[in-house]
Amino acid sequence: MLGNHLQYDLDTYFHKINKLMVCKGSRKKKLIEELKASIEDFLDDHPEASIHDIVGRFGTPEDIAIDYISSVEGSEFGNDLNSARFIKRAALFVGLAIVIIFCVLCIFCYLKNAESADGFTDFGVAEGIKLLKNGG
Amino acid sequence: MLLTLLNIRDMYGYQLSQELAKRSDNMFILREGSMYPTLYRLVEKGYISDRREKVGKRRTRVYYHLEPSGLKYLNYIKSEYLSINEGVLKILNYSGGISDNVRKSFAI
Repeated sequence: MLGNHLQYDLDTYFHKINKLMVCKGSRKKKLIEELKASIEDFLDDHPEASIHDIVGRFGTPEDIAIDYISSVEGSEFGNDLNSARFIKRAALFVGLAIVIIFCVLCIFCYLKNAESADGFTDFGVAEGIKLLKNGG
Repeated sequence: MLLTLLNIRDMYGYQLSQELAKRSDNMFILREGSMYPTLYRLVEKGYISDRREKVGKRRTRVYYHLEPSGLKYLNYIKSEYLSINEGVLKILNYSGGISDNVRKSFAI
């Protein structure tokens, strides 16, 4: 059972690794899962280890990301990088499309309401004039 | 080196890096960031396979196993390495840059 402080430090450590790693989601998930298991094995051998000992043994999140990049073949890394870029661009495009559609809908609703309001106002004015003519 | 260790027995990631350091007297330190991509590549090529084993309540270990094609590949790269090594030592011997002790140990 890990102490709260070490658990928090480890969560931060893995969060940084997750951010820095450039690879496909499934590969990243597998690597982080195995890294977690390795760290647990290390802690079994060294129960009093601190986060500094863990970083000393396994490397900083930057070290791990660099080790990964230097270990993959060029074409594989290129594919991972292209996938990451594609996903970011696709997400940006989808976000933009949603914003545009929302704006168009808002403008459409406004114009439709404005049309209806004008009609109502005209009707109200016409009725008012009629009443005045009839002397009341 | 990883294939050589897996030829001894199936091992999981942490065990592989520990064995490598221990057997090389800490000359070769292979960190997990470098080791796992190499293992995944070997799995993709079919030289090794992996299986998940539950350890305790929450932990899952991934054990790696050397496949017959991996053993074949290991034997091939071992012979390549020894040929290159022999050639280098011959050159060093020719230029007088090799001690008697080293010459004896490699039988040149």
